[in-house]
Amino acid sequence: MSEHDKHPADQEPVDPRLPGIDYDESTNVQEIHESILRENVDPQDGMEPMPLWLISVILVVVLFSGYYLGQYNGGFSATGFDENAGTAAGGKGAVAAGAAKVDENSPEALAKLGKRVFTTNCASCHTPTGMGVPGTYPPLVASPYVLENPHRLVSLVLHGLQGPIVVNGATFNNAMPAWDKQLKDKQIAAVLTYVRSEWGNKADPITPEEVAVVRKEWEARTTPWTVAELDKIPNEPILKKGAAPAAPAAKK
Amino acid sequence: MSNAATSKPVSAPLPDIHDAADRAAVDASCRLPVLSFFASAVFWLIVGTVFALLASIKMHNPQFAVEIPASLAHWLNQFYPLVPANTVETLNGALTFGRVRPAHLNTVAYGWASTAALGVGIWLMARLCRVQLRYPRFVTAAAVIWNIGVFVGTAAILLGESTGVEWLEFPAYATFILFIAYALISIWAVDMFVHRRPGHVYVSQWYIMAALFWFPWLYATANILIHHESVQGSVSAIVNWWYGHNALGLWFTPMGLAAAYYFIPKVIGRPVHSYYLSAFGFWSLALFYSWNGGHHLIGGPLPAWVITASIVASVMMVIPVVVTAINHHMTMKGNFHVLEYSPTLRFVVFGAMSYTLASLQGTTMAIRSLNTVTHFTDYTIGHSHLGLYAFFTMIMFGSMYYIVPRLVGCEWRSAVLIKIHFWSCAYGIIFMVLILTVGGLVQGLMMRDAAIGFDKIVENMVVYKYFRSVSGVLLTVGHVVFAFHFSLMLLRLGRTEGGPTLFRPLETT
Amino acid sequence: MNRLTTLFIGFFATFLTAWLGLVIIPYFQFGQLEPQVDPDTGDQYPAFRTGLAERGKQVYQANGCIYCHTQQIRPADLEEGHNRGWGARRTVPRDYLFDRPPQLGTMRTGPDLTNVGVRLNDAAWHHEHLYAPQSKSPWSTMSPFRHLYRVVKIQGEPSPKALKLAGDFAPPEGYEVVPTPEAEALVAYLLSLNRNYALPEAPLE
Repeated sequence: MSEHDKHPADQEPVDPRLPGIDYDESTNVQEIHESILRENVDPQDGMEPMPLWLISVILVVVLFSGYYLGQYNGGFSATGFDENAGTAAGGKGAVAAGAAKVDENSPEALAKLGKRVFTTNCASCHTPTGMGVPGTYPPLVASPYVLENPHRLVSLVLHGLQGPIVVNGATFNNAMPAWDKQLKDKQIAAVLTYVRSEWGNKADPITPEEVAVVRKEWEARTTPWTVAELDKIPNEPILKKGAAPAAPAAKK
Repeated sequence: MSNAATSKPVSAPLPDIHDAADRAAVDASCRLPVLSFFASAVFWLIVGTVFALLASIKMHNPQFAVEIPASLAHWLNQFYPLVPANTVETLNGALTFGRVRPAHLNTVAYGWASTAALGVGIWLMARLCRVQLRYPRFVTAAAVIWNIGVFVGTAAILLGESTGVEWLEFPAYATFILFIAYALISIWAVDMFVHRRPGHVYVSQWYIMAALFWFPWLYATANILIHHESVQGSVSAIVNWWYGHNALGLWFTPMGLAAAYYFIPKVIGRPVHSYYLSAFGFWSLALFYSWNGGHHLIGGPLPAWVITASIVASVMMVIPVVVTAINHHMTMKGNFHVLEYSPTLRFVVFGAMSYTLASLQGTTMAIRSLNTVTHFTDYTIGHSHLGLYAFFTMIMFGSMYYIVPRLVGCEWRSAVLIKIHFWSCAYGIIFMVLILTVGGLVQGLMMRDAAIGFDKIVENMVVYKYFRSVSGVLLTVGHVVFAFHFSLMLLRLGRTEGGPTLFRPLETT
Repeated sequence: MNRLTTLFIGFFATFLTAWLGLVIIPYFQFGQLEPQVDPDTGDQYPAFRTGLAERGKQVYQANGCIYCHTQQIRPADLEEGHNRGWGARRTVPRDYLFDRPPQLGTMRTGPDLTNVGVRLNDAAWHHEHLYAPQSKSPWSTMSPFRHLYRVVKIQGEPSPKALKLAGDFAPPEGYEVVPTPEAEALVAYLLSLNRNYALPEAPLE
C-alpha cells in the first residue's frame, strides 16, 4: 500500500516545503503556503433529490422527441429526402411532379419550363424581374431585342454577345455567354417564350423547330456576336411557310 | 457576523494541514507539465487572435492585407535562389481570407482551447486522484508534440495544403502528430485513475475521463473515413459534422463542465447541490450529444431520417443542460456575493451561464422553421462564439487564474490587469454575439425574400461585419493583457505577500 | 478498478450508439451509390470531372472557398435558392458522388455555387472575378485572389490568356495579368459545377 493509501495519522510526516523554491530568497515559508492553506476542501457531493417538476419537463421533452422522430423520418430510407412525406402535409412534391406532364408542348407548358430555365441560367444577370442591372446587364422588359425580330433574338442567345449594346437609350458593355452548348432547342424556345410573355412583354412564342433552324444556320460560328453583326440579321419569320427551312448556301 | 465578506463561509470544515501539504505536493508535481500546456495555450491564443482580427477586417475591407509590403517583397527577392522564386506569391497566398480564416479556427481550437483544456484537465485529474502527477516528463513531451502538430498544421494551411474540410483542415501528417500526443495523455489519464487514492470519484473526473476516451475515437474515425478512405460525398459530410459537433460537445464541453463543477463549489466552499443531478446530467449528455451532428446539415443532401434524428437529439439536449444549470445555480444560491471578489468564480460562472444560454439557443436553431432563417448566416457564427468563447474560453481563463499561483508559488501581480481582462472580454464577447445574432437574423430574413438581390444583402451586412471587428479589438485587448500578466507569473514576478489577488479587497472581520 | 470498468462501459456504449447511427449505418445505406445513366443518350449523371477540374477542386479546397460559398440547395420549403437562380432542384447524395470530400459549405457570405458552371459559363468572367471581384461585382466583399495570377511584362504579342481588366484594376502600362495553372484548374472546376440534371429521386421542380 502506498504512503497515500494509509490513514493520515499513520503516514510519514510530509515535508511541507515545495521542491524547487529557494527558501532563503522568500520572506516566509508560511506565505508560500498561503494559497494552499486558505483553499477550501475539494468539492463534495450534496444529495438533494431531483425535483419533481424537472422530471415532468424531461418526460414532456422525451414524448415530444418521440413524436417528432415518428413523424418526420422519411421512412428511414436512403432516398426519403422529404421529411414531410407520409404526413398530412406531405407528399405534395410527388403529386405535383406527376401532374406536370400535361401537354408538354403547349405555350403554357413551355412558359413554365421557360421560367425554370430562366431562373437557373439567366436571372443571375438579367435578374428575376427582367430589369437587369443598370450599367451592367441590360433589361429584358420592353427591350426591342426581345420583342422584335425573333430570328435575331434566337441567334443572340445561341452565340452570345460581346461589345457595347444600347437598349432603350442605355449603353451596356459586358459579355453575354453563348448558350448553344448549354441549352437544348426546347429549353431555348421555352425561355424565350417565357421572356416574351412576362413582365408586360407581349410577343409571339418561339418553337423548338425555329430554334433548330437558327442553330443549324449558324453552326459554324465560334465567336460571340457584336451588335453590328446582329443588326444585319433580317427581320423575317424563321420558318418560311411552304418552303423548306432556309439554309444559306455558302457555309463553312 | 461578516461571513459574507470572507472567502471562507463558516459552513466549510477547516482544511487539514496534511490535506494541505498533500495538495501542495500534488501541485508541485504538476508544475512543469501543466505550465507547458498553459504557456502553449496562451501563445496560440495570441496567434489565433491575430488571425481572427485579420479575417474579420477582410470581411468588410477585402483589400486589406492582400499582399505583403512591396519593400519586404523586394528585400526577399534579393536572396533568390536561396529564397525560391515564388516565395512572395506564396506569402501573399497565405494572407487570403480563405486561408487566414481556417488558420484562426484551428489555432484557437487545437492551439488555445485544447491545450488549455489539457492543462486544466491534467491538474484536475491530479488533484482529484489525490496523488502526485505520475510521469511528468511524459506529459510534458505530449505537450511538445502537440505544439509541433499545431504548428505544422497551421503552416500547411497558410501554404495552401488545407484539406478544405471544416474542423479537419490539417493535412494527414499534422493530424497524425496531434493524435499521438492526445493518445499519450489518454493513456496517462487511465494510469492516474488506476493509481488514484481510494475514495469517492467526483463528477469532474467522469467528464475528463470520458472526454479523453471519446476524442481519439472521434479524431481517428473522421480522419480515416474522410481523408484516407475518401468515402462518398454525403457520407463524408455527415462524418464531418458528427466529428465537428462532437469536438464541441464531447471534448470541449466536458472539459469546461469538469472545471465548472470543480471551481464553483471549491471557491465558495460548499458542496455541489445534487449528486443525482450530476450523474443524470452526465449520462444524458453522453447519450444525446453525440447524435447532434446532422443539425449542421438541415436541408442538405441527406436522407430525412439522419437529419430528424439529429434534430431530436438537439431537442433532447435540453435535458442535460437544464439539469446542469439547476445544479450549478442551486450550488451558487446564497453565494453570489463571492462573484464580487473572486476572479476565478466570476470567469467560471460567466462561462457556466453562457453554457446554458448557448445550448438552449442551439436547440432552437435546430428546429427546421428557425433553421430556414439562421442557416448559412452570421447567426451561426454568433452561436459558435457564444459556445467556444463565452462558455469554454471564459471558464478556462477562470481555471487558469486559480491554478497558476499554485504552480509558480506567487500571486497574480495586479488586480487591475485582471479587471481589464475580464471586462474587455466580457463586453467584447457580449457585443460580438449580439452583433452577429442580429446581423444573422437580418441576413437570413433577407435571403428568404428572393426579390431582394444578393448584392443588397451583402451591402447591408457590411456594417455588422465592421462592428464585429470592433468587438474583436476588445477581445484582443483582454488577451494581450492576460498574456502579459501570465508571462509575469511564469517569470515568478507575481506578489508574494498580501493574500490572493481579488477584484475587491476582503473586508477584515 | 471496478469503478473504472463501469465508467468505461458507459462511455463506450453511449458513444457507440451515435457512431453506429451517424457513421456506420449511413456508410452502408447511402455510401455505396452509383451514378445514373440515361438510357437514351448514355449520359452519366453526375459526370466524371476532367483531370484539370479535379485539380481545380483541390485549389478550391486549399483556398478555403467553403468559408463563404455553399454548394447545396435546400428544398423549396426551406430556402429561396430556386428563385435566386441557384438551381432547379434541391441537391441529393448522388450529386456529390465524386466529391470526396464534398464542398458543401456552411456560410452564404457569397452566393451558392452548386450550379455556377451553368449560369456563369464564361471562363474569362471567372478569371477576372477571381483576380478582382469588385471589377465584376462592385458591391462584393470577396477577397481578391491575386496570388493565383501573375502580372508580367508583355513580350511581343499580348498573351491570349491575359485578363481583360479596366480602370483601377488594370495592370500598369506594358504589363498583363495571366492566370497560373492553379487559376486555370480552379476555373475549370467552377465551370464543371452543374447539378441541373434530373434524377429519379430528385425531379426538377
